[in-house]
Amino acid sequence: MSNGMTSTSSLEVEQYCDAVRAALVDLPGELGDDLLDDLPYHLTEVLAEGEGSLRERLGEPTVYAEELRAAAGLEPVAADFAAGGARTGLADIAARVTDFAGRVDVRVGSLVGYPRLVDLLRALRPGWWVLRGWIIALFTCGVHDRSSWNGLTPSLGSSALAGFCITVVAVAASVWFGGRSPRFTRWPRRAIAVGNAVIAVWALTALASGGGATTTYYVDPAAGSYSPPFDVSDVYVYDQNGNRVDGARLFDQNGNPIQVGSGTCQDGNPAPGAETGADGTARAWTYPLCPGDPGPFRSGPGAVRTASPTSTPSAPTSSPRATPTSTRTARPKATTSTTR
Amino acid sequence: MDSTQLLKGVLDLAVLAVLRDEDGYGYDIVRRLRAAGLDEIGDASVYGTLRRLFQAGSLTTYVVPSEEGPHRKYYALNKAGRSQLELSRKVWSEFSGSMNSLLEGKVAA
Repeated sequence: MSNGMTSTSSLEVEQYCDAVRAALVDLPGELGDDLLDDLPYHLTEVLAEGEGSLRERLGEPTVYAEELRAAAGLEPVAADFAAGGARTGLADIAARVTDFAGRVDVRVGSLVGYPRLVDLLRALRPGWWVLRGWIIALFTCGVHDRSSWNGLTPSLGSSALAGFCITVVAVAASVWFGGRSPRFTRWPRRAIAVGNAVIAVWALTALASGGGATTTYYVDPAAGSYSPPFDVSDVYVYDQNGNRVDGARLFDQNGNPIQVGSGTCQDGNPAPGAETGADGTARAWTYPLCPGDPGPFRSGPGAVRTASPTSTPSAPTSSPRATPTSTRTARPKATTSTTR
Repeated sequence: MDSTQLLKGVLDLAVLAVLRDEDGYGYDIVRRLRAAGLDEIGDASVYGTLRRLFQAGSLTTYVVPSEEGPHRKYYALNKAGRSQLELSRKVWSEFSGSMNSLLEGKVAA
């Protein structure tokens, strides 16, 4: 059997199955699953032996569904269900939702040049699988080290190569599962559905929180030299004579306290500088957080080595905005008068 | 009289019977039933019955890969299925015996 034939016939089977499933949408999940799990298998067998389309040989999917319902010993639906008459309760809601989804499906599908939107999404399936693998890789790296969420490129710690390898493995696994999932039985398929939902929810929340890298640590963007900030456990302030300043408080340009450090001293006790007050509210952090720890340098003249001045202190500059404003003072009146 | 109405009551028995000597996949079972003279049996009825018997624990299934065409899911009678078949067979022969007697006018007055 040629490949082309297999894929067109599997599409036909899928569409027929979907239609039968839609007609049995009022069945409780468990019952419907039990009944419909093997239907793709069965219809594929039917189609493979003999001539004609499924519709020609088995009749309309709705009729097939009703026969199935009866044979499985389930209550036949009220006759007016098919006629679109009064429906009750959950079945009613389910049917309306299905109807509506079906119409949207066709309407949107025609906009993008497909009979149904579902057809387009199906055609894009390998793309979804790759995306899923990518998200799994991001997640894997993120669990190991949250600082790895550096944009959308998975990297393990600082190793982009490890991140790349994880991505390749995750994408390959995702595609492998994607290609085989139609042949899985109910429980593996359910497990995959749950996994997909978890991944989707995680990805959306991570996206919503701006890449997911939420930390209480603060990195001054102007300094840009803490990378990553996690190796900073304490901050020592020295004045220009090399004397250590204890009890210093750090703020950013907006007056927000800068909180950097681990909150635990070398002896394992909580850092006095980061202690919370008696009423449970956080006190302002004072540096060094652990005045008892020796610190990097001995205090005193000439003690501080000026090893790596990453940025030379810039002289206070005059405002650069002064020039551009002067050139366009004459214009505004001419434009505003025409709008009225 | 509509034979499809009669068929409904004995679908289980018919399906169990064709699986007694040989396992079969869905469409194969439909074909065997039709070949046995149950022409009006519907594909959905057979498939639905198979699913129900499987859920009830009377059947086991296994997949046989096929080089030409799709994999096939075979259904087989297990112990419970065989005893169900035996029980139903007795009920049926008593019932059909009574019906035959009735129709042929041999009822003991």
